Amino acid sequence: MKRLAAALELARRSRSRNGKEAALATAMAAIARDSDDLALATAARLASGRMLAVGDGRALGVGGSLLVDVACAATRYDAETVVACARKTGELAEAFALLVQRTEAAGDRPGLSFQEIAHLTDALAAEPGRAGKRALLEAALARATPLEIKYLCKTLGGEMRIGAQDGVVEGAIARAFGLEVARVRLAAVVVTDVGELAVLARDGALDDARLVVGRPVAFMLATPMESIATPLDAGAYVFEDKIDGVRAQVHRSADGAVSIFARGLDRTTHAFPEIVDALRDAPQALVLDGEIVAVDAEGHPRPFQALQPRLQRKPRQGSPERPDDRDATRVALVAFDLLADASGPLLALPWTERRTRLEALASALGGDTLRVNPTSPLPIDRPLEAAIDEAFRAARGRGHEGLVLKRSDASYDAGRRGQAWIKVKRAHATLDCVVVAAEEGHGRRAGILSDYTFAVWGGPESNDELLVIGKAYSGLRDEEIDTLTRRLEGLVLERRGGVWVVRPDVVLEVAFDGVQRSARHTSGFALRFPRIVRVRDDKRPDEADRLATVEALFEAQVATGHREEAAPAPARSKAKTQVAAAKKKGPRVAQNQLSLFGGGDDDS
Amino acid sequence: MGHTLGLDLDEAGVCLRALGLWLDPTRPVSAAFVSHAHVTAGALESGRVIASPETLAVAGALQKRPPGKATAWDGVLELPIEPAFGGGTARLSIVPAGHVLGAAQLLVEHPKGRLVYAGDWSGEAGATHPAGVAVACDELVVTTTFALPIFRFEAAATVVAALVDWCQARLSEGVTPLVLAHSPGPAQELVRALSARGLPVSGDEAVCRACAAYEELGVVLGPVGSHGKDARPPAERRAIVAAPSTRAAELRVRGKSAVAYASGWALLDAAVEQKRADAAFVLPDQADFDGVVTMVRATGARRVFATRGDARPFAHLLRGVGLDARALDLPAIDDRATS
Repeated sequence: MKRLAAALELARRSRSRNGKEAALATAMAAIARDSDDLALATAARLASGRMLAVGDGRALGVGGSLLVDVACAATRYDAETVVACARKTGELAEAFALLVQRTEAAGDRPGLSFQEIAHLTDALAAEPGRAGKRALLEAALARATPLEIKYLCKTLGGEMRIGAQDGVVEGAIARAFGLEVARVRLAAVVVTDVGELAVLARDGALDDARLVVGRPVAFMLATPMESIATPLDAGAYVFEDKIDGVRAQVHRSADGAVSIFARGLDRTTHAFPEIVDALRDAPQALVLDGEIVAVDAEGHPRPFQALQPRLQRKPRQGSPERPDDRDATRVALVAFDLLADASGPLLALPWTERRTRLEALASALGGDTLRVNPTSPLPIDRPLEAAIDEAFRAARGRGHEGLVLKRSDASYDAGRRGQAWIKVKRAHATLDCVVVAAEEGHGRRAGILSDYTFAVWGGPESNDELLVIGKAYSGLRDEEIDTLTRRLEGLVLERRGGVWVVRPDVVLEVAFDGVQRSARHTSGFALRFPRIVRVRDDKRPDEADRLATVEALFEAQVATGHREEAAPAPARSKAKTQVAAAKKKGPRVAQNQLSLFGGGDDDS
Repeated sequence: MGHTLGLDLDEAGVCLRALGLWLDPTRPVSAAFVSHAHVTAGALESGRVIASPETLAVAGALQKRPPGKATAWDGVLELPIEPAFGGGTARLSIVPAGHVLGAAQLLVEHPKGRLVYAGDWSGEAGATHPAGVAVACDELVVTTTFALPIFRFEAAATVVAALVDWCQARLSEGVTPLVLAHSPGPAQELVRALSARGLPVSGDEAVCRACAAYEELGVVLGPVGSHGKDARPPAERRAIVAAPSTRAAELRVRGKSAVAYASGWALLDAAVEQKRADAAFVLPDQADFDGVVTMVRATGARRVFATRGDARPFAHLLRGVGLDARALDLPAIDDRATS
């Protein structure tokens, strides 16, 4: 692990993608040369910030407070000091490593092998008790070097943040084994566990990468209509309602085992036992793509909020599935694609062929829990705009979010966001925004964080700046606010008065009545009557919407006469770069970030 | 019960109410002790400013105008103690604090004992300033910039030498080295070291002004060119030293450049990332945790007051080793009005 930790440090320090890839590639090549499959797979997972493989249903149950206890024991400082140090560095992992560095014989620590780390991972997942987990961690970390502690704890805390997202790790794998990166990427959409991907790459076996039932593949994504520049060939498209539920990939293997994966490829099987039941008796192996929705007694879809209690369920330790877990909320799977059946993977087939098979399968299965999302061709007898408009209004009338247009001849492009699928949300739909600050509410909501300042990304790449677009108070239920308060408390960078500046991590879907120019926010725009639709736990902050989308929404309003282009100069002040840096978090950032709120002094 | 000299904290900063004196205040007050030259400009607009001659000279050069009613002194200054605090006279004197040229600690001798305000302190001598000393006292007020055990610094001289090596290596590659360092202080140490190595060096406007003030005070730094925002970039490739708030793009460097961040803060990953620096050098201008604790012990102070930054955890750590320490916390700031 020493070699990998050094490479991760080098990658973190490197400002270029090329430098990051090179650092990781060198380490992975060396690990592949000197160690076995398990070591290489573990190293590749760690490099992408994971202890467990994508889709592994187990939970390690290692939270911040447990790590603080472990750090206290290892460094002989008490929690008050450890937490103060963590606040200074912006995260526990870095502070933990710096404190270990000053302990006696820090230089004599032997370091951990990847076998030891793999063993620790399994043991943590199997150990139900906090004390037991603590003992495991203390024993392992007592042997780890400071740099190993830094990167293990970053990974355990789910905060690798070295600017090496999967794309960089894939690039590093390609370099390490002398392969074309495109080939690695192609394999990565079906082999979503980067550990297995690395082993396949080393063995020159990437061509063997294929969808395996029971293992999640990357979801195909839709491009927002606003981002489509080229004219559409209306005759080539069908449309479906865009269902407001939980995107899910449901696998049923030949032996009847059912697994459900959410959009982030996390295993959420335990939350939906009735879907497991409905598919267990399917006549064959299959992989479905669809949305899970809550339904009322008549089978009509209910608002997304009705699903929240299900989603907050945690898998039981040691036994990820909870087949007896039912409640009053009825759910259904609205399937819209079939990725595999008994004949094997269907990803390369055109949509029409997959659709035919999906419909046949669903009608053979029967029942009420599995449905197929209705689809219609786009009418070609009138202007495209008018046709989409009419379909959009009809979908909204049925209580759905909008439309998804699909090219009928397109393959299932796992992990891609292309022109084959186009989502129509429109101006009066929603934006996914990142929370950058929160405030305590007043009156009934005193002491809880109920007012959220949120932002969208400025540029086309994920690694850029967050621009504030507004603030919202309403929309969430009290329980949701409580949950969010606890989560935001763990993300606080700086607290001044009632304003908590938080690390951008929480994504909120925000609805509004319109977009207008505004000098008030750093984005240069403000939302009219913003309200929170839901917390997007399934989205990472870098998946939030971008300024370009807001600009397009604004332009669309101007075009339709809903808004006029009377533009006060946008307030793109210094604050924007400071919020951008917040992604990287840390105390200096924290202090600077305060200038968001008009205060803050830089140097000591 | 109140403090003998009315040691307190208000919105302007730490003060000794018995003397009507604020210590490094953040805004203009009736009378301010200014411990070193790069304090908040507001302090220098106070009704009365007392500071070391070097601090006043450098601060004056940085602010482009001399402070108002300033007292440069290095003898003993007597101030009356308010009758409410028992009356009498306090004798004020200054002692080197290390840190930067002119940085001073304030020793207050009063009828009931000795109080020292250490300010930003470093026990290490630089090429441009003497080392700070530990002053025997009954009560000690310390600032806590790097006063957490995560902060452990190498000797500044070693780091400066490594930085000069780095600059030289960049120059020989045809890359302009751009070093972000606090000024006055580390920036001038660096200018001096680069010049001593015979490397061409320029400073940004703030760095150059401080350098000129240093030279006027007889502290020889060597030739330093001006790399102003409006100035034409020189034909010759030079090392550039600029304030940490500078953005590389603003400096209009011709050709390739590489950025180094040289500061005690460079120990923190986030700080380096925020500066978008290619290289980080942990170049402190103040003592690290162990250094401050050693100094505190050496003063023999019965009571220690920690202020700024990490006052609370530092006081907690000192109590943990048996010292009577407490935090003078920052006054509450109401942000609601500005949010």
